[in-house]
Order: sequence, then structure tokens, then C-alpha cells
Amino acid sequence: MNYIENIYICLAAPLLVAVLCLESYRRRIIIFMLSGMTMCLLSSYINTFLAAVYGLNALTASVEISPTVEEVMKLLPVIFYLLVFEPPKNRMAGNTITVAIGFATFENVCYLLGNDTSNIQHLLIRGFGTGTMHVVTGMVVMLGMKAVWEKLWLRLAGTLGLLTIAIVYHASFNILVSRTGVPAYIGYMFPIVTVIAVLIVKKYRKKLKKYFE
Amino acid sequence: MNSLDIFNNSISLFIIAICMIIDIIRAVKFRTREWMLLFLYHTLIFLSALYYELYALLLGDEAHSGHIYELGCYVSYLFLIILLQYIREKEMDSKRYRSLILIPIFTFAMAVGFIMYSEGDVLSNVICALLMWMLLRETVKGGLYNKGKYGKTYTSKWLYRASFIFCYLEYQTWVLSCFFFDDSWTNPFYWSDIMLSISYILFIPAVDRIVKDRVAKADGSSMIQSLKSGG
Repeated sequence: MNYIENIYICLAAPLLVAVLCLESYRRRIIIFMLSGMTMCLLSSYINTFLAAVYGLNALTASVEISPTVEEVMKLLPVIFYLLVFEPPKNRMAGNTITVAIGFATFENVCYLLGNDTSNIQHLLIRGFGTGTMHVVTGMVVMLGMKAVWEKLWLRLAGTLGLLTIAIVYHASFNILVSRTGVPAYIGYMFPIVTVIAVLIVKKYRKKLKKYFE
Repeated sequence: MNSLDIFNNSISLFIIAICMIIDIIRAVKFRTREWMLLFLYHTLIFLSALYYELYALLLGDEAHSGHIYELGCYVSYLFLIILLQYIREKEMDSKRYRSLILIPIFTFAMAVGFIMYSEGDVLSNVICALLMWMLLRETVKGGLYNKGKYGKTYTSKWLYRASFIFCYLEYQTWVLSCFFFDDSWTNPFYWSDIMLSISYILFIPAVDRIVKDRVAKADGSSMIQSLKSGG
């Protein structure tokens, strides 16, 4: 049995010391990473609680409850930061990614402690797959938060829509990786391919525009 | 979930994937919010259909029914509402139409019917009725504004028509799902579902007209500006 609180304390302790020692944007990065890990811990509690309340098995909980809970929880530190500190727009994307990285790191550590760690190939694919998935979903939601819509209700509706995209994407990923063999590998490649496609569109936007004309 | 469901969903996935590709190409080319919103709308429907397909193929009876699929489908209406609202704000005045009062009566009456006949989830049906109310309100409002203005060029009328066809087919599919249960191609539900999938394509030429019209207008006004400054 894993005591994830104990793991959390061990991982969070050096980061907490770093928060006290560092200044400016470095401190902010560490705080967001720590909050990502904290949200992962809280998500696991909420997931377990909801699965018990609704009497769901582990598989159903992982494809129905955990995507919703995790994506909402991952968004909370960023919303708090936005509402309380009102930062400039250019800081928002980086902070969301940092929360996602903290979340994915803690999730991976818990996975490693509960599963076989002998197959480096599988762990490499899983590490990249899960990490990228959390970054992708964080970035999708950030699109909405980054003032894409002028009016408040449009921003709220748009952010809810983007959060749902993140949830459904996460749930599809969880279905694929809940299986073994080919579906699992397709699942792990799913976010990596998405990130590559986004980076290609971002980098070659001007060339693509000329090409499509 | 039977094999016909999976086949039907595969057709939807294929159609929506094509729509997504067209949307992203147009979004890169024109860099307008209309194409981006349509891309997000199609993306959410695609992901929901993919989730449904994966659930049916990989999990089957191992897990409970997928509420995330319903969430994805319903929230996708939000993007369509935002798109209609965004276009309406640019083209219309804030005129009030009394006939719009009938829309919530219709959507909630249908929701009550679905709860009674298909023994559906109350919360899910209420949320759906609310979203359909908002979507139909935007659609009918835009349609009423365009009515009687055929002499002028109102490119957005095609989008409202596409949206109305989508709403009609959505309700038709839901109604048919309450009364026809057999797993064969004679079941009209499957045909209605295929027509609904095809209706997603209608938004592409509709948005294309609006964006091209606006680009042409912007080019025209910039040309006038440059002529004025040159003169």
C-alpha cells in the first residue's frame, strides 16, 4: 500500500525550502509546480471519495470521474492566480504548463511506486505520454483563459467548453491506456502526436498559410 | 452498444474529422475567430464521438455508461452558441422578438417528453433543454432578422439555416430514439443519425461565406482608405 501523503511530503519539502530561498519568477515557477503536485494529491482523494459514493470500480472511475476531477483541480491554482494577482497575459501559459508538470510528476511517482519499474521502454513511453497529456490539456484550457473572448459570459462559456475538450481528451487517453498492448501504446502516442501537430502549425503558420492560398 | 451503433459512430467520426481538417486549414489561412470557434465545436464533437467509440470497442460492459460523452455533446452547443452570438453582434441591432418566448416552452416540453418516454436522466435533460433553448434562440433570432431582407446581401443567413437544420435533426434523432429500438437498418433512428452527422458539414460553407464576405469588405474599405490618402 502506498501512502501518497508521505510521498508528497518527501517531494514537497525541498520545493518548499526552494520557495523560501528563491525570488521573483523562479519562486513563482516552484510555487506552481508545488500547487500542481498538491492538486494531484487532492484529486486522488476526491476520486476515491466519489468512486466510493457512486460505487464504481477502478476502471469506471478512471475513465469517468478522474478526467473531470483532475482537469478541474488542475485549473484551480491558475484561476486563483488570475483572480487574485491579475497577471499579464504572457505569464498565463507558462504557469499553466508548470502546474501540469507538477501534477504529472507526482502522478508518475505514485505510478512508479505502485507498479513494476523494470521495463524502461514502457516507463519511457508512459512518462512522456502522461506528461504530455497533462501539458496538452492545460494548454487547451489556457486558450480560453487568455482573454480569447471580450465579454465575461463569453469567456466563461468558452473556458467551460475548452475545459470539456480537455476532460474528453483526458478520458479518451485514460480508456486507451487502461488496456494493454497496442491500444495502450496508441494512447501514449496520442498526446505526443497532438503536441507535434500543434508545434508544426505554430512554427510553420506563415508557410502553411501561403501553401493553402 | 451494438455493431450498428459503432458503425454509425464511425461514419460520424470520419465526417467530423474531415470537417476538423477543413476548419484548421481555414483557421490558419484566415486567422479569424469564426473558423477557430467552428474548429473547437467540431473538435469537441469529434472527441466525444471518439470517446464513445473507444468506450464501446475497448471497455464494452466492463464499465458503466459514459456520462462524459453526453457532457461533450452538450457543451459543444456552447461553441455554436458563441459562434452565432459573435456573428450576430457584428451584424445585428438589439431588436426584441416576441416569438422567441415559444422556444423555451418547446425545449422544456420536449425535455419532459424525453424524461417520460425514454426514462432519461432529469438533470441531463434539463441541461440539454437549457442549451437547446440558447442555441435555438440565437438561430431563430438571426433567421427572423434576415427574413425579408433578400434584396441585400446577408451572408450570415446560411449559418442560421445550417444551425436550424442541425437543431431539427438533433430533435428528430432524439424523438426517434424514444420509439424505435430494433438493431437493423430499417430503424429510422440510424438514418436520422447519419443525416445529423452530415449536417455538421453545412456549417463550413456557411462560415466560409461570412468570412470571405468580411475579408472582401475589409479589403474594399482599406482600398478606399488608401485612395483617399493618395488623393
